[in-house]
Amino acid sequence: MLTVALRARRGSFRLEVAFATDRRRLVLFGPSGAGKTMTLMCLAGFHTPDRGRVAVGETVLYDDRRRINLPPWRRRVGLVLQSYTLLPHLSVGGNIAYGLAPVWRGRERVRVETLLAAVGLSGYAERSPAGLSGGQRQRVALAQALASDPRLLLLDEPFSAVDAPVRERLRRDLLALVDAFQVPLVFVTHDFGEAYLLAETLVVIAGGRVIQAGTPADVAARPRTALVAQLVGASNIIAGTVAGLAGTGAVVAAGPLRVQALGDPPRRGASAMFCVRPADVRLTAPTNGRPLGTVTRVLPRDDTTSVVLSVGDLTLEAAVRGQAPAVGDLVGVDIPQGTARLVVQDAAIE
Amino acid sequence: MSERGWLVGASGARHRPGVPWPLSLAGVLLVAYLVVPFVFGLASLDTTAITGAIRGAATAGAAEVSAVTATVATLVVVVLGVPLAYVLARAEFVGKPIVTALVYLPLVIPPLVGGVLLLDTFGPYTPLGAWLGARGVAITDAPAGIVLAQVFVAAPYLVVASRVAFEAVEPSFEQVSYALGRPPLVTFLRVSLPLAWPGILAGVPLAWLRALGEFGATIMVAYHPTTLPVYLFVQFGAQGLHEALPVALVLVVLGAVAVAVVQAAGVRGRSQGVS
Repeated sequence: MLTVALRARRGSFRLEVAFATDRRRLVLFGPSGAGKTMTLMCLAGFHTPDRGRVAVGETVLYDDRRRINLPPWRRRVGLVLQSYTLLPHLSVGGNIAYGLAPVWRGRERVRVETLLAAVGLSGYAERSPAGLSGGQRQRVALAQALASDPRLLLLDEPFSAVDAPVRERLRRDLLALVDAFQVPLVFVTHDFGEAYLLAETLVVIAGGRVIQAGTPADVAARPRTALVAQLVGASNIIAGTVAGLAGTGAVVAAGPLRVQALGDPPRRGASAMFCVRPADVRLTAPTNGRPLGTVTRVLPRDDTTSVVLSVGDLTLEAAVRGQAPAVGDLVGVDIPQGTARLVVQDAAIE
Repeated sequence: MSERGWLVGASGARHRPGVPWPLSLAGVLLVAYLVVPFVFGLASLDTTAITGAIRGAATAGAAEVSAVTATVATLVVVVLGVPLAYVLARAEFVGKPIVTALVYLPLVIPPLVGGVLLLDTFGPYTPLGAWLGARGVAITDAPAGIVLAQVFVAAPYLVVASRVAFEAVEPSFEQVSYALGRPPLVTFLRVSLPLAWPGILAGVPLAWLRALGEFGATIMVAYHPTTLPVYLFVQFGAQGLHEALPVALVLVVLGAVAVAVVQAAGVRGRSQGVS
């Protein structure tokens, strides 16, 4: 059980976050500059918050009211950074041995080999970190962090500097490793795919605040704010007015569009915003009674084609499979029921 | 590796980044300015003068006194200066700019003045000097006084070099060490110091050479036992300029040998992966 409530400052940046989980894998997700790394540094003890409380299970790492602030070397948190984690003057085995908890005294060699085997690098103990690939280096860094028998693993974008196919392998192996060692994980990333794969609890941070938390599936399906919608890929964010209320949502009128959006319905006549994924926007032949759009840009993606439309004054993006229209084409626009969700503007949350 | 791609020319041959000729010219001018006086000065010497000077310096034991005191002074500077450099590189505290300025102070004031200040502190008629004297510790006209004078003038060179070396150590290495449960002193000894060591090592010959050549503060504090620079001054006073010059040659050779030894040690350290 990890519980975090922090208020901290660095220069003019203010961080005020609170989250908790009883699951093993927590991901801090958000744009760069959101305060993710600063939160992690508060957990590791390298940044002292103004107030708050950090606890892992029964162990309190920081509590301003009880005047507890364990120094970093007493927190037993394993740290893996994007780079500069492995000590360049030690061998691979030396790096892992350097982190070994005192209980392994006398059994260092065996433990180092066990940890190397766990990260798939048996027999690498004598190598120098400089001779390893980026992915191998991060594997050794994980073994090093695990060597200290940490009560919490803190990973700050550890796979960002690694080639994409290797990155995917590393993510899967990390999942297996966390289960094998039964160690809780706090993982920082700005990549939603990575967050979705690794998180049991997803905490979305922006501007020094938690703007949404939940399971990744829940956050992806029900983004609460325009920014979260943007981050989880529901990148069409359209502002309009409430034309009517409908069950668990509202009908929002925006330009030529009248879209039934799910979510907490605001009152009739109020301004409202909804989001919809490009993959959910359907393009049809231009027929009467349907809002019409003009294709302004066509961008090929790896498995779809991104079609950007002008719909009245609105801009809308559709991800099209198969035959895509050409620039200048007139198309009908359909946003099927159940695909649009009401979101609030981020400035509105305090 | 793609990041090296720009070094690969159309023919596939690697191009070294060229040194623009104005830079080479400036470098040549400075080297010439540094070397030419030696050439003219040494050309005026004959071999009997040189052998006589070497014999004389040896008689006076000046070379030995200089080498030993400079080495002891350098050790003192390393033992006290490396920790100070680490503090200046990593700690934030009130008055840090003042401490930084104080480290540079011996470079600013003439060594002669430094010697006077040391006399005012450790001289036989000062409280500290009397206290030490009562316990049989002689400072003035003793090797300890020479070392004090040398430490005073040599410390800045090592502290500045070491501070730069520590500042170049990526702080995340220290963070990772802390996170692995290693407290600050262990982290300093096993992470920061080994990583900064090549840079610190660059400051060691600077400090040693400055200690070896130290004259102004030394002659105020300890005329005896005679160091090479003091012996040079004595020769100059007694027999004139051209009798003194060969002593300088002994000093130069001693310094060159020391630098060569330290560089060889540094190269060996690097190839063993210390850097």
